[in-house]
Amino acid sequence: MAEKDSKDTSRRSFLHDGLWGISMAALGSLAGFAFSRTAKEKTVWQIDPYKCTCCGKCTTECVLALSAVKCVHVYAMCGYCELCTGYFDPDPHELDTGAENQLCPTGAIIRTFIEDPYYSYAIDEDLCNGCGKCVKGCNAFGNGSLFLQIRHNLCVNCNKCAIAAACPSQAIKKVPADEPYILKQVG
Amino acid sequence: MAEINNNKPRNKQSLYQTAVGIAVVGGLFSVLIIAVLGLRYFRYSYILPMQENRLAQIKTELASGAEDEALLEQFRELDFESRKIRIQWYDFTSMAGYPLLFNLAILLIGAKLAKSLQNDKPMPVPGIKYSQFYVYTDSMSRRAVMTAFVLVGGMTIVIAMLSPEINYFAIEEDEETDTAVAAVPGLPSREEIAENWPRFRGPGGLGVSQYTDIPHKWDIETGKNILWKSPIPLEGRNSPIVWQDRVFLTGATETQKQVYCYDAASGELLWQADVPDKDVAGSELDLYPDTGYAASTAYTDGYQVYAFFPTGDVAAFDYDGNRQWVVNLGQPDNIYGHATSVVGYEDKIIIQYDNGLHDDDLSWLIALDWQSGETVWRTPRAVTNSWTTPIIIETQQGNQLITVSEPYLTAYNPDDGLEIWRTDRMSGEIAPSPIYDNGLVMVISPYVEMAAVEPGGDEMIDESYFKWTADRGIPDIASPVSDGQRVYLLSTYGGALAVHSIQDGNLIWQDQLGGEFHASPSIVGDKVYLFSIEGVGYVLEAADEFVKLAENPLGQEVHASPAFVEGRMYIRGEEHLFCIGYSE
Repeated sequence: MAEKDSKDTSRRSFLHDGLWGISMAALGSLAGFAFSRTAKEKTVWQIDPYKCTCCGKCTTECVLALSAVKCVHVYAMCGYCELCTGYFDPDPHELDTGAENQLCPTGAIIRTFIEDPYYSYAIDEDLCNGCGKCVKGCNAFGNGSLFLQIRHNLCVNCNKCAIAAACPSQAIKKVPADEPYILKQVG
Repeated sequence: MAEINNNKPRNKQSLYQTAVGIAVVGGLFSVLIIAVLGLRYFRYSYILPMQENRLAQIKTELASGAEDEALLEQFRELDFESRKIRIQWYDFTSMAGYPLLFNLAILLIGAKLAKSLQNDKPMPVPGIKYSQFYVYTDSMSRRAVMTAFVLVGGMTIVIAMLSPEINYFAIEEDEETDTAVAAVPGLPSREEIAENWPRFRGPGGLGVSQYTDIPHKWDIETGKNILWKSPIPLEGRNSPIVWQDRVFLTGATETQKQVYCYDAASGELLWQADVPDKDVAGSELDLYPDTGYAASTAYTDGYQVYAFFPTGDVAAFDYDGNRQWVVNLGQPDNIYGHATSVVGYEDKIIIQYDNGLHDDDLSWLIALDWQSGETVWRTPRAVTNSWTTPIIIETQQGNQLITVSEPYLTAYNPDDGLEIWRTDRMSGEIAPSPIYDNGLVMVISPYVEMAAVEPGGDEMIDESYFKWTADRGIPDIASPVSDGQRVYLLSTYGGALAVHSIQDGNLIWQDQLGGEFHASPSIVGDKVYLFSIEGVGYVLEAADEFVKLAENPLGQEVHASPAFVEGRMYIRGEEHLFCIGYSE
């Protein structure tokens, strides 16, 4: 028995087994690295704000009851106007927060007075249904600081996005998952 | 006499009653959830659209200046109620699915348990015909299976409806809406018109885009910002018009007249339709080559497209390319061939049909019914043949239809065609169409002057209505365009550009682009877009000095003015229709 133990732990067998293990580990690492390089890049759906025509289909075509498309706001582009054409109806009765003056059908834009004559506008995403009416208004007469984006905390990332299929301007495309938003740039 | 022994042990009886109780509770909660879901769905699908219609009505009333506190209050209450309905629907559909599944599972488990506890083997009973008994139980089994299928099918539908992730109703609702719109068409709203490019030079005919997200650089060689280009079957110098996802053009030769509908997203030619000669053969016309057989831009109201040709034929097609009507306005007599474009006003299609000389009694302003093509009104005009397109303006005295021909600038009531006012200051062969900005109608007498006129008065207006005149860089074909501060004039030859102040008509600057121009300039935000016949698209700064931002060759001739919609510009080249937009 003692003789057998001595044989099992000989220097030769230790080196043999060690080299074998290192070779297998290196081979495995190489295979893993090769696999990771050939694996398909993970992508998500996103709206190109420069192609979007705010047709309203994002509201009706998304498979979610309340669309995953939301209006987002680049504050650096916003003019903080008193008469915000993204907030107010084209022909507002008064420039106040009365429902009859608001463009948004769900009241998802929060208007806050800053200092005369400036107001800030924020989006309540729980209410926004992605109809894009505010975006149209902002693009028409404002700086274009409001635009639509698919929110990835809500999107179920369907294999074939229902909105992308219905989009008349083909504004929805796959983008890398590590850069999931297409944001408008200032300037 | 022996009896079936259905007596259960006491503990089994107790378990059976508990199972039944569980099933009943599960069932009751399931029914309750389904009932609330049905109610919410009814409110969301049927009540909400009605409320939204009423909200739109009240908004229109308020916009028209109605100062009614009660109306305002009604709007706010209705708005609050409609928002509540919408939010309740979203919240309930996202929350109710799992509780319903849970309760249905409880119902099934309870029922199954109760059934298994009840399922004691009966003892034989003397006097019962077992053959009949088995026929009866077999029949009941079949019914039970059928009922189970119906229940499972129904529950599947309900669960699908309830799923927090999936909204199966969206597409159905859309289809219903589309069908309803197509069946009972109405007039396009001011907002709808403003969102599209339904006529020559867009909403109002002013050549001003309400959208600013249009590329000012594109490259035909690399394809940068060229979203697509599609061949045009027949030639024509008319401009594209756009309504939502469709782009319309016309084309014609001596022997053939056609209307084209393109898919705005892909450029696919969806349909092309022939326009028959109604009365006058096209081959009888001797047209000037620069005008051609399809110089008039079509008009669309979102339901139909209306095309006018130099033969005097007017045709209407629905959005599937089905011809609705064709009428002929009478023998044309126009030295270069008609080029006036179709204009729409409410339910009327209006054409300025100027022929012959001013004393020939051949010129008419004609309004046709959009559905039948029948004449609604027809007003004679003592003017010489012209190539201008009318505009319809809103004034404090009401809407006015402004026409320009030699020798009159005339305003009509578009409702009945009756003349409101006129001035006989116009001269020459007039092709530039009028524009309206800052409360002034600006008109061109080629090579002579641009006049800014306040639209008012009645009958023949005097000099007091002329705010200013300008005589530098006056064009002969292209229409002017205003950015609110400056009026841009583009001459045909040499691309001479003269910019005047809209306040007093003084010349601000002038310069030359080179080349020849037929297409009218357009304003896109703070930029001016101009297209030469050679096909070069120039983009300048709309400013108090000449600043050229870009020069974009298109590779083929351009004679027509472009159309602008959100994010896109459509240009008719000699052979292709181009769609320009941000490609990346």
